[in-house]
Amino acid sequence: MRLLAVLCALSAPAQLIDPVFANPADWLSHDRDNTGQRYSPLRQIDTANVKRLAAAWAFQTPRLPARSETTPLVRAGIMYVTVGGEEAHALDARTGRVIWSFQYPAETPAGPPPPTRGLRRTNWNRGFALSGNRLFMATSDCSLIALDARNGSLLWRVQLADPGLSYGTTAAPLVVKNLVLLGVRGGDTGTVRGFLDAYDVETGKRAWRFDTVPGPGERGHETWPSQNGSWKAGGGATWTTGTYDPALGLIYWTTGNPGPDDYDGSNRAGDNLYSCSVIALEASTAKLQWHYQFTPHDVNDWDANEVPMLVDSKWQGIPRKLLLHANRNAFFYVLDRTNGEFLLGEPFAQQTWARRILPNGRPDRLPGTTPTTKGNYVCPDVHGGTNWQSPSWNPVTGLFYLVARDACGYFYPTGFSNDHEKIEPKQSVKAIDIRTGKVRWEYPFLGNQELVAHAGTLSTAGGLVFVAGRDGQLIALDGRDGKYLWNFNTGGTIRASPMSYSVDGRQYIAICTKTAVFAFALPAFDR
Amino acid sequence: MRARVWAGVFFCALLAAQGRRGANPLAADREPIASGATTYAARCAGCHGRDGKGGEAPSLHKSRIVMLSPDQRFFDVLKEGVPGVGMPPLTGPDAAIWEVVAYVQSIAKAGMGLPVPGDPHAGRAVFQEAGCLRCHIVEGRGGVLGPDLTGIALQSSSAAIRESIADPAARVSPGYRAVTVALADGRSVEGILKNEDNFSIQLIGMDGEPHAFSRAEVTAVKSRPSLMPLGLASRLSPEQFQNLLAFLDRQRAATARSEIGFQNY
Repeated sequence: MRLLAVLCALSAPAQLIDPVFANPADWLSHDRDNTGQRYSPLRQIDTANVKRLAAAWAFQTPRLPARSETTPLVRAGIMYVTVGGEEAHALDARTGRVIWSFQYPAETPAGPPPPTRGLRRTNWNRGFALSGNRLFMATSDCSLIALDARNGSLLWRVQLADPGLSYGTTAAPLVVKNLVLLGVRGGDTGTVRGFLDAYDVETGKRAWRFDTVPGPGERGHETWPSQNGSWKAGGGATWTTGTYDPALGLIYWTTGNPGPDDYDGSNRAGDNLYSCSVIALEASTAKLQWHYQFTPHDVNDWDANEVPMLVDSKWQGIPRKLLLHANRNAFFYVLDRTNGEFLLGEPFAQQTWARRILPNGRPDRLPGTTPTTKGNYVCPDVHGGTNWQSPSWNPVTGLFYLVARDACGYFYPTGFSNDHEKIEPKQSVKAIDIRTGKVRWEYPFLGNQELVAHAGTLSTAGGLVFVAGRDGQLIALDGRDGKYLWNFNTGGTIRASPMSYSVDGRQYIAICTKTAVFAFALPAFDR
Repeated sequence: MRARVWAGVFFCALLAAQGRRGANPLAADREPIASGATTYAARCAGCHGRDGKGGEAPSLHKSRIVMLSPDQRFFDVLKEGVPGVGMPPLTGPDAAIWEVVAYVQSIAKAGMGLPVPGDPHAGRAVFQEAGCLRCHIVEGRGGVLGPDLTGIALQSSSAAIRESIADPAARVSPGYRAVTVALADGRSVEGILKNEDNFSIQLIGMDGEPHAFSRAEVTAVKSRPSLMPLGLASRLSPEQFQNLLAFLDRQRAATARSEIGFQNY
């Protein structure tokens, strides 16, 4: 019996990370694995030797994309990288040399030709998902495509929704067993009702669709006005990548702001479920198991499309299955991911909208903080205390690393304007102690911080946190105390999060800038 | 024959209608510009920047729609939004949308207005006597601490030029903030901050030369008041001030001005 208990305890961590992600050398999903921890088990590059980290290669993208927000995947020494929603490449991960390139739209033997392009393109993209020899990518015309990983040929294509109604796809898909999951963007346009789709990895046939705004007769529909039909354009977009717990059989996905009218909620009285929430769905059936709404009846465009990170850790002395989430509303949350129970909610960035999060999990919203025609001054600003860029976790330090923004702005029923004068915006890397929700250390970005940082973090078993500044600096910090250790100026805007992989026993750190992929490693003689 | 005449009349009427349709009915009127500014601040500035020079959304100063298209096309884009790129329609009465058209053109479409009244030749003398040449280049000579004014009337609206002189501290262009950099060896360097991040800092010193320091060499970066002379407008007579504005309004040489500093976009 005792032996069984010990075995259970030993096998517990292995249960959380799906065995398909077991090879430490590979990076097979947007945030490396199914947990969203963005923690690389590689330790060749560490706090002692990172000072000698040097550029190994660079890959310049042939065309200039609108925005590159992508994280490359690496398997068995081959890197797969998307560039915007219409271009992708397979590279030799040791040298950056091209193996194949893919241009969309392509010849489509497996489906109808893509629809009209033009202004309806959403040509920014966050990367591939991978299953066997299939790569999955969201495209600029609101489609999901599958490519053959060996030669980049198009296997199938499905269109999720009409881009003419402002639907778009920009996220890296997530593979869960035989399904590939992808959500949609467009929640700011007042025409979109969000959903999450699952498709068969082999055939592209849709397995299920979960509408994030419940229709008549469904649970949650009562949080919308019964008369005006506003739920039909209720937003709740699903434009980032979720996470998956194989032991519980649950997927976790976050949703964006409600609509119509982001900043004027008068047409949509009520909590507006399941906007600004995390939803837990049964992976095979899409049955909703629980939900938690971070910002009920949002009027500040504080999308909850930040990573729902899964961590197994002791909580007040007892091992617990946790979900960690730093929200655009400037609060850091700890939930029990088996049932959605609220455990902790603490601000990690400047905020003036809530007294606190009540023990029942609802925010205690301060009066007079909703948008006004003269402009109501509220912190955080519309970009939030953080945003979609990936946070990361280190099980040794017990710290959650994120790029945070301390800034305020004016909110009107018709829109917002950021403040740059009354309080100068600050942006920084912050490390949150998950037991208390308090910021343990902070590494501020210096220089002008008006423009929003959208580069995330990478945590490694070498004790490092890699992070990029919007201005193009890739920076290594000590995960324990945030001490600066190394940097490299890539010379181009970075709106992506770093990743790590290993080939032939050599560890690399990679980052995508607006126009290039850079890979770094220790000099050969150092290893 | 009669049919051809009627066809010609119809064609002319169509052209006239198009001419009317293409132009902003509120153009060059001061009131709508002020009112358009309020709407712009609330609905547009969040993405396009308070000065229209871009943020999450593109700079309006480089927008083909703002700079090159007929007014009506710009109006239509505002009214309908741009599906798929996150630009929502600007809801509200047409008059309010035309106000925004007028305002955005007034800030972004420089050099399009009527010539600023005044005597530009007398204004040149004011420019020289006030010492502007110490920091600004016009007509091929001058200093490098401030923006090159060679083509200023094609780059800034006359309202913005007026404000820059009357209240220079109100809005300092990125790349022209005056600073004092204190160094670890006890020296200090004064100048214009061109760029900075966590690792290095670049400025043009008061000597007109570029200086670059690593953060390790720097103990403090302190902001200084604008190097523009404060209260210049009040020291000039209204006539001198107007002449100075007229002189600057004639600086329309189409030479490229370098965009310095702040690769932070």
